[in-house]
Amino acid sequence: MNNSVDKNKNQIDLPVVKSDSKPSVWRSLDEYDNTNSDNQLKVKANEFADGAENFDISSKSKFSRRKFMALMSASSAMAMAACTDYRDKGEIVPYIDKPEEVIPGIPNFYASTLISDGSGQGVLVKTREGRPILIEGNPQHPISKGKLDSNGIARLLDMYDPNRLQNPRKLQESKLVDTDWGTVDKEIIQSLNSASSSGKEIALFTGKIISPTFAKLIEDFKAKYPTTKVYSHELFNDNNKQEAWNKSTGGTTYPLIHLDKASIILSIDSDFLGTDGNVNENIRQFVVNRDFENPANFSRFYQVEGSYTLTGSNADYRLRLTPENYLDVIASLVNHFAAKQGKQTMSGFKSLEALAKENHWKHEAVSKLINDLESNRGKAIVIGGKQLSVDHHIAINYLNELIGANELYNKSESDYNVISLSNDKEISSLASRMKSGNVGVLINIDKNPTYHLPKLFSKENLSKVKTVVSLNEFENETTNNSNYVLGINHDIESWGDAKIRTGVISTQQPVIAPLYNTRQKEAILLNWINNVENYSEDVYHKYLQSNWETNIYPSLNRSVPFKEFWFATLHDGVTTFNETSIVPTEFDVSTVNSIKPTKKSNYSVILQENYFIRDGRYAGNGFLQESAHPITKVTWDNCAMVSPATSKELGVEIGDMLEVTLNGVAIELPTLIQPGMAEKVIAVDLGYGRTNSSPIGNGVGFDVTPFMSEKGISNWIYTGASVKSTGNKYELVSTQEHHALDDEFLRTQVRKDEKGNVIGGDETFARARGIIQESTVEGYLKNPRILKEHTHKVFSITKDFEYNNMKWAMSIDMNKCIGCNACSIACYVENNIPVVGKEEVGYGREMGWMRIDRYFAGTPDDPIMSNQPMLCQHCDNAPCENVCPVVATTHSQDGLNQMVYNRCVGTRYCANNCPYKVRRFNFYDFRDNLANGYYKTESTKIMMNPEVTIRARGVMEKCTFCVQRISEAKQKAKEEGRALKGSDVTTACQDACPANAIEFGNANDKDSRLAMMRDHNLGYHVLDYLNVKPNVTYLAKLRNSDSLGVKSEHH
Amino acid sequence: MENSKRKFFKLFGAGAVGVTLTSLASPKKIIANVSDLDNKKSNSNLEVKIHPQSVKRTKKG
Repeated sequence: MNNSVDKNKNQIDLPVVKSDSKPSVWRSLDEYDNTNSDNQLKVKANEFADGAENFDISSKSKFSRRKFMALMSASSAMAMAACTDYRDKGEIVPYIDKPEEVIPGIPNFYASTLISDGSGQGVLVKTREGRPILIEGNPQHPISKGKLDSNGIARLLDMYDPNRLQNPRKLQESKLVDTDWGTVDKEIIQSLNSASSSGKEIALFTGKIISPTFAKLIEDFKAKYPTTKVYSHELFNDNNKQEAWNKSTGGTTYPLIHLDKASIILSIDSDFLGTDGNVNENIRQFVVNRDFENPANFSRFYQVEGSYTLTGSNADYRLRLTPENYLDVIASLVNHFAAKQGKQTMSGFKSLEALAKENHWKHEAVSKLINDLESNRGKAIVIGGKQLSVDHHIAINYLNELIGANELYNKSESDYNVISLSNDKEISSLASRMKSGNVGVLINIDKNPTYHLPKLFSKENLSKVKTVVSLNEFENETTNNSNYVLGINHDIESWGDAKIRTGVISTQQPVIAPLYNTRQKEAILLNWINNVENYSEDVYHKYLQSNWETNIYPSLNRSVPFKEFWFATLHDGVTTFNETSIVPTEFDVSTVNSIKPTKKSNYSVILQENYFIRDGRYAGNGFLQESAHPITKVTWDNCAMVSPATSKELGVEIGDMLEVTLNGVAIELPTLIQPGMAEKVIAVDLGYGRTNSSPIGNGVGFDVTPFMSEKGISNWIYTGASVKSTGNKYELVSTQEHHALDDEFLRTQVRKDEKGNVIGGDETFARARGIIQESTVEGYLKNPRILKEHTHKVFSITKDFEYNNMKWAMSIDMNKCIGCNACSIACYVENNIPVVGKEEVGYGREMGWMRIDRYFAGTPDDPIMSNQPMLCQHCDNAPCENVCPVVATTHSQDGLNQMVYNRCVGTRYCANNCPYKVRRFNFYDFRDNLANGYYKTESTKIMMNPEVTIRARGVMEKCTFCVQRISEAKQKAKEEGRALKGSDVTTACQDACPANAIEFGNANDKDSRLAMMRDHNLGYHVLDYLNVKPNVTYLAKLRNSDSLGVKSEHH
Repeated sequence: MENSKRKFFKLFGAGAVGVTLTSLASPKKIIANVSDLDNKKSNSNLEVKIHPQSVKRTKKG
């Protein structure tokens, strides 16, 4: 009898062999090469990460029975004794005098604006019993439209950070000591008067000023102290773009672009979905033309870049290129179109064909790009990265002129500059005057110049200024060199206003009275103007209101009285009005004459803005430090990203220290081999290596600000670096292989026909399991059921539970998800998820309930990246439920996979049996474990969402589909006497997603968008064949290109 | 046998007395203890006050 099974007829091939051939889908270079290199990147490919099982019984000495009994008795005695010392939970008492605004258990919301970061994002702050517990986007704000970036969401933690400055401090005997406001006010006013009368400069060093009322206050300050000069500086800015626009057209502000109307987008190193411009707005507009319901109008997006950015990872065609050649690409396109139109060309540059050959671009990409730009006149746009030079931007402006892109410029509104940022020369001249003793007082307003501009604002230079005052939320490198350090209010403890766009002004109002003995920065300055001894807490509130009443309100032509208007505006957080903006688009061709090719030499260095900690200002924020970099997946560090080929050339592996020397400055950095980087390019994030941040931010990563000089292509791009390996090692921690859905790299068996010809198989396990499913737009248009053609039927021998009423489910549109991580950070805040720190992340113990999995396809030199948000799938046949010995995880009647925390005994069987690896175990009380209980202080305790249980050590946890929000909606529907609807509930991740990629609701409501997505041809369930019946549906990504990393068709 | 039984009770007794004394001598309020660590600022006297002039909403939209 022949017992052999004909594999060719099997619907699912079981993985049976390891293969040396290369996989089509892979997560890391180790996986691609099928190796398990003992490099210094702490990644764990095992299903059960090493740290999860680090108790090695064999290493323990053998015990005698007697010794065991003795210790047992001692420990039981200790346990009994310890019971008498159970921690005091405090008492819950009712209000004696209940504030009118508060109904216990019911949240209040306050509309406000984030001003301190210069973003002006409209926010809604959720409070419970007076405590702010969540910052979200304000749905009424015309720019934010209810969305907020990950930094904005995580800013809540800053307010409760135990390291905040809590009192004014003064330098005494080389030490900063706490003092009182009266003393500092008096002494600083004396210094200001003295500087002013002696003709010495008073320098106000600020960030981007977006508040019209603060701008007025500065004018008042100048009137009081006439020697005052204002310097507005941001480490990352678009000064070059603005200057180029001014030179090209005479306009003062680069226009807004209608990305939602663009069919073709060519980005030259612009990370417009990550760090460049108004990112939330860009994402929202970009995904308009990535609509799976309208595939015929899918946009096509080309990205030219040297590093690997979040934006690049979303490109249909990603063209790797060293920064020295950016101008060649722009000029060759300019020449193509200018020659056809009989206009001025640019000479001395390489042709596009030559660049394509040199850089091994996909053969069809260049011809497609030119055809697309030609055939989409008026619907195509070229976007230049803010870090490019003025010359680059002028050439891009000219190219846009040639392809008719000015039709995509927004003519009705534009960005608004309350005060323009200072240029590099102005900042340098301030440093020179400081050095020569001409600056009497330097007031650092919520900035950190010693860290950002270490050469200009060194300790030595600052010591030449008689009085240095720092107004900051936290101590930083500059406060170390200051005579006075004054704690300022957090954004949600402050009054203010912001204008970042014509026709829109938003208001900032305090949600909570200052937690500490701090003042808002405007009030401090106002007190120095007014010179009053008795400070009043509402001094700036009155000033703000008065400015609105006398200057802003009259120009708005409102029919309601001011008071009514004021309270309505505070309620809404924003007011809009008609305001014309002039967008000149006449291009001055003569400006391109002087543009010459970039000189090429040795290695290039790109200094990038980090997606989370930005310019370093959020280095002390645990949520942001712990978020995995969307591209490298490295947490708690920055690193030198190099391409696989460059790493071979340098002879380095991941974690090897590289010495990068640039213009005489040498810095050691750990290597990270990043697939998809351009050759001979080192990309590294700024903002790390802080020395005076907090126990969270100190010593994390490497400071590369000393590289910044005027000798580069721009402040952020340099050529001529020399690089060598130092032989040292460094441990980088990355989450790229944590919680892998396949525990081992496996391939399916090769299938052959009778003649021995290969007819299928040899797939990676990941592909065979259909974790990532994608198609091309063309393929989908030809055959809308392309993904459904080979669907495997799954069946059960038991009867399924019938969900007759509600069945909660989620769908995630992969065409819209760009992998920004806003969802996962919102989940941290909403669900009281602890930060665990670098060491614990290294063990695979990060606690985030929602992670973004990253997969690559293609070769390491030029891969295609796919993201996949992964969270508890709330399976109907949840395998975690069956294995729990204490029934701590169960299923609800409305389809939720529930955790009963106080029943859980921590066997971790459920996590082991979860195919999606979404369960997280509290190996410690992580708040207590991190930095000596840094996040277990009184202040961080009051940040917690009271609707979500704080999980104890030894307990399993995971995504609950925001069950607390479901309960709230149920209660509300009951009170209103109506049936609960799926649309009554939005999850925290859904609210945060700037692309609206997440839908949540009732799967049984057949009219809902969610139900449509569940049944759609592109909808699929991850690991569907396991028959666990997951309730998160993924909408397969469509790529508008000829080549596809992950093939849609199954074997 | 008698000897080892005595030894066991001796050890048990000593252990129990030792840990009880240690436990009684240790600080009672664990949370307060954590927040009083030298390496960070104590903020145990926090008071949450609602700002009187802010305008609240009862709904998100």
